[in-house]
Amino acid sequence: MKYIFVLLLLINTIELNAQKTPAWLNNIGIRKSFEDDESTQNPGLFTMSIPKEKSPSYLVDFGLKYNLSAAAKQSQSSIIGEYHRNSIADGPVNNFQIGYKFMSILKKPEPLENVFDLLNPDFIQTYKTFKLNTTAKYRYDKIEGSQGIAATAMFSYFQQGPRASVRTRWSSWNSNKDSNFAYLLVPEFGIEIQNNFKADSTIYKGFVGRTVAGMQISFGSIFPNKANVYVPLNRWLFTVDAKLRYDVVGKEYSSSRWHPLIKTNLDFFLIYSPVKVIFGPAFTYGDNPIAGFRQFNFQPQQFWTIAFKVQK
Amino acid sequence: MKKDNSKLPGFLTTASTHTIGNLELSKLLSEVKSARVVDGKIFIGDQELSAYLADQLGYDSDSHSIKNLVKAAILRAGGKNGAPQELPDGASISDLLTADAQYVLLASYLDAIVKHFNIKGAVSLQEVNACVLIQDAIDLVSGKINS
Repeated sequence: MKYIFVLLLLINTIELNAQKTPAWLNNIGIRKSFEDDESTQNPGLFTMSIPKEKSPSYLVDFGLKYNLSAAAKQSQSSIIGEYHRNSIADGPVNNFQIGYKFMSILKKPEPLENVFDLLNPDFIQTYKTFKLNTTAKYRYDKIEGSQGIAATAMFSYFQQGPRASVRTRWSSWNSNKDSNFAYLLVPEFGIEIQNNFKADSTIYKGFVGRTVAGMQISFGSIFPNKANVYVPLNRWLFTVDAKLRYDVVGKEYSSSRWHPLIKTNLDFFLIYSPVKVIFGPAFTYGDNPIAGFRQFNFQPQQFWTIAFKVQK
Repeated sequence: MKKDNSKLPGFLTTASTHTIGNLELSKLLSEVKSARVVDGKIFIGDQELSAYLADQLGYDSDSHSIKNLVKAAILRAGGKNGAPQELPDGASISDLLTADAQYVLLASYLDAIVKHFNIKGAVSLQEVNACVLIQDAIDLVSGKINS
């Protein structure tokens, strides 16, 4: 386990959506990875240090998305690219992926019976739907010396209503103007396949199919925002993104068929305007074969980072 | 625009026993009879017909405005309770809606609002996604209703 202090400039899941922004900029998104549901913030991360005498060190988790079309008919196609590089953990990572993403919301909401119901302050329409995130990618891993394809199909669940309580919400923040606590749960499940058609070692060559189950949990303290009572400000926010993968068919690239991955963040919000300045630790445990974050000495890896973050 | 009593619906005649009472009805009737057309718009007294009817039906014309309906749609799509009047026009929609499904819900609400006032109008998810601020959504819906 390594402890490091770093100053990071993190770019939020963008809405590069300011007024008068060129249309092509509105179609760009940035986050750590685009395999998962994008309901929670997951800013891209880039840090590098170049000592005079020692080797440079890197911690890069960066994904870039370009929407091929504006979302229409509840679906969206995008080109995605991801780069993951880590030299601060026990096992190094140097992994590049490029491919296609298709997102689809599987069910439409029921039409409103009376539009003036919206003016009722307590009106929340019941809307339940699954969302599908699929990706198909070429991947290159320099550490494994492997090249191949990977594909994922992940379902997440969204629900709002019939009442505005935590129990009736999935993938939707539970907070209101009078709240002092906010809560978000995003369940996910699906499959992923990986086929390395070329690798330096036969260990990493071949096909594997996995099932994936995960849950993103965020909660934290909030307080009223004078500028907009409906958008409260965070005091602190704790986030856990947990996924469990299991090799169902094909070969094993590592000593275990189980691949847990837990990412946690505790963020303290220091400044809110003109940009948000956030400070806090993050802890990562496990492995993620497609992203090249593999076991070290037959054990899941783990490492801490403590960072200042700047968000728009 | 003048009509004689014989062409009015039965409940709008002074002979009616409608619960609002004959005196009130008589007053209403004389107001309706005073309707006039100015620049293609129907006025009753100083009010345009739609505002006059809203008053008679007990609607607060401000709280039932298109602007407030659109703001309410954004709040409800984001799963928020509360009065739309408190939502600033210049607020960013993405601060209130964080999930793709919420944008689908908003598109459904805005489409219903437009169709309520203009049966031939429609709002697409693509148009909703192009809105950055609350004011953009208000302009989109108002434009569709008036087109």
